Amino acid sequence: MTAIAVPGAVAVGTSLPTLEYTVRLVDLIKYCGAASDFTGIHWNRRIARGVGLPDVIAHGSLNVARAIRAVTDWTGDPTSVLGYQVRFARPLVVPDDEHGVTVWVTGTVSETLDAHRIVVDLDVRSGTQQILTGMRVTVRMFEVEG
Amino acid sequence: MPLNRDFIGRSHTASDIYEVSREKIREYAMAMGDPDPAYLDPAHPGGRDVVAPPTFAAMLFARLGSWPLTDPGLGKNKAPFIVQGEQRVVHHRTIRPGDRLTLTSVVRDIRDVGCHELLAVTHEITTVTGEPVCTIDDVGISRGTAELGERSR
Repeated sequence: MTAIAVPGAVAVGTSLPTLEYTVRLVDLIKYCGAASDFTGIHWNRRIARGVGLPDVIAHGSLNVARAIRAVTDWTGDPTSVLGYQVRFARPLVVPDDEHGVTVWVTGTVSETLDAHRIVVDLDVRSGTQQILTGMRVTVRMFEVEG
Repeated sequence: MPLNRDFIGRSHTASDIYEVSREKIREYAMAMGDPDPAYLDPAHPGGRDVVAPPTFAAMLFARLGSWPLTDPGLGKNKAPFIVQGEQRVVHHRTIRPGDRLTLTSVVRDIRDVGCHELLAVTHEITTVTGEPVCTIDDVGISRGTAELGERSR
């Protein structure tokens, strides 16, 4: 288990390493299966266009799942995520091509709740548009071992 | 058609029990593109067995019946449809293989927001013995179903 710091050592304002990832159509289809969510707008262009979307869109929970990795990679321990809140601001439209769509996640420690918990704010965007807004992740601090 | 406001305050417990497995955690982690050993390798350094990713709990809603969205009495339209607006997740403990989980959902609120309706549902995930595991507050947006939206169509 990677220890991140003694409580208090991660100051408000600390930046997390930026996370960049690409989402392709096959990723949506894999997530449909893994999450048992076969809502048509996530895998079928005809259905997506039928409700006014330009193309299929990623599941909101896939956007959250991928963005939150900025935190778990940083802490080195997924159990450090005690909770999160998020607004699904804009759909992530995924084109049916080899490039997919790229997402950037930046994070900042915004608050110390107590000696054991901090809050990380994540900024999740594709191009200039935020796809998730108000994303706050509550993170448990770890004592350095040894 | 507006959503059925008689649903406010109603609750529902999923009829199935969800048993967490290492293979499901692996499949979910790979589908979210994260090969973290904590999800894949039961012998990963510093851990005892694999753990579920932070968003695993929110996935149980679809697997366990998607109430109230699947209840015909709610009056959900096929299209326009209900999209996710906001979500708040509080983990009471880590989810691990062998956990036997159940889901109880309560409709907290249905109200107009402009031409849309807002549907607020709280989901409690517990073990079959009642141990709290995760609380999820979901706010969905039912597009165009408020009276204002009905009139403008």
